[in-house]
Amino acid sequence: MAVAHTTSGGLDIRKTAMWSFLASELMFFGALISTFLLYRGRTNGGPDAEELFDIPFTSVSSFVLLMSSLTMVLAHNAWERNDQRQLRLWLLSTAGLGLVFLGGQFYEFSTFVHEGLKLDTSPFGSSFYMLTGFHGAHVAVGVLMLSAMSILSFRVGLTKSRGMNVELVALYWHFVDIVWIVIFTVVYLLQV
Amino acid sequence: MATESTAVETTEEEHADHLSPANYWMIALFLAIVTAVEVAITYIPGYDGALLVTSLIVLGIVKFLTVVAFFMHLKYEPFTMNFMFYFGLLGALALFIAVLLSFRALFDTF
Repeated sequence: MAVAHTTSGGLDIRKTAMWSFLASELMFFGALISTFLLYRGRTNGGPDAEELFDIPFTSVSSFVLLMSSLTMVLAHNAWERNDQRQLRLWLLSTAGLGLVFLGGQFYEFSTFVHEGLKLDTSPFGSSFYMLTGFHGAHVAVGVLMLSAMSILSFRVGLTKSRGMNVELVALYWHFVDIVWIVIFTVVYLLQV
Repeated sequence: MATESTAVETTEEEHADHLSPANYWMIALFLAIVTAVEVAITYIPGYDGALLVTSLIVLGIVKFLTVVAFFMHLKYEPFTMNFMFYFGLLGALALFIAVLLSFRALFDTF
């Protein structure tokens, strides 16, 4: 027996809340992307996108994040089948790929700062770091949640009867990926 | 006896996956190929301007919708959840257009 978490319309209230949250996050990132596009040309004499962006490097980062969505959906699939061994494997893989992405972002930021683009160098720099930094923060939160899920899976096991945490974390993680799909296209590929 | 937090059996089939791991690998391969095409076309000489911008936006939309539909399983969710998500997406697009129009930057953006 499981405690019902349903709305009067029969929808799962946890998933409904998560989808509402993700919809609000879309608008949040929409605002940040709009701001970046407004200020992308205002470099105050500092380096611009064309001078800084290393598309091959960012493409690899994008590929890593895309593949983390695959490992996440495989973890979710294992959870559906109650296959704890596969679940742990794919959860840890997803967290690992998330860390690789964050490492790449740290390297990219370090390189940009070294080349003269700091948070206060120009409106371009501020809006770029705010957008990609907030995305990175979301990835970091996702890695923490995945790590917590992994620990729980080792300690008590993650089954459907223990709630739908894996499903909610999976939704959040895929969301982080789709935001990056937009950022990669609009902020990187369209600017060089 | 019904209580405030009514106990019911979770409908297992409600959350059942509709695709197999092999399907997910194929979708990931498709997404990787689309990403490779995105990057490749930015290096093609003469492939620029409106053609490049349109191609990149279309490819980005394809990737976005593929992840949402199949990895996030939104395709299999009830209408209400689809509505909430796409309403948020439309809100984001409206915000985007409104901000850029306000600063008369919409047509300079791309």
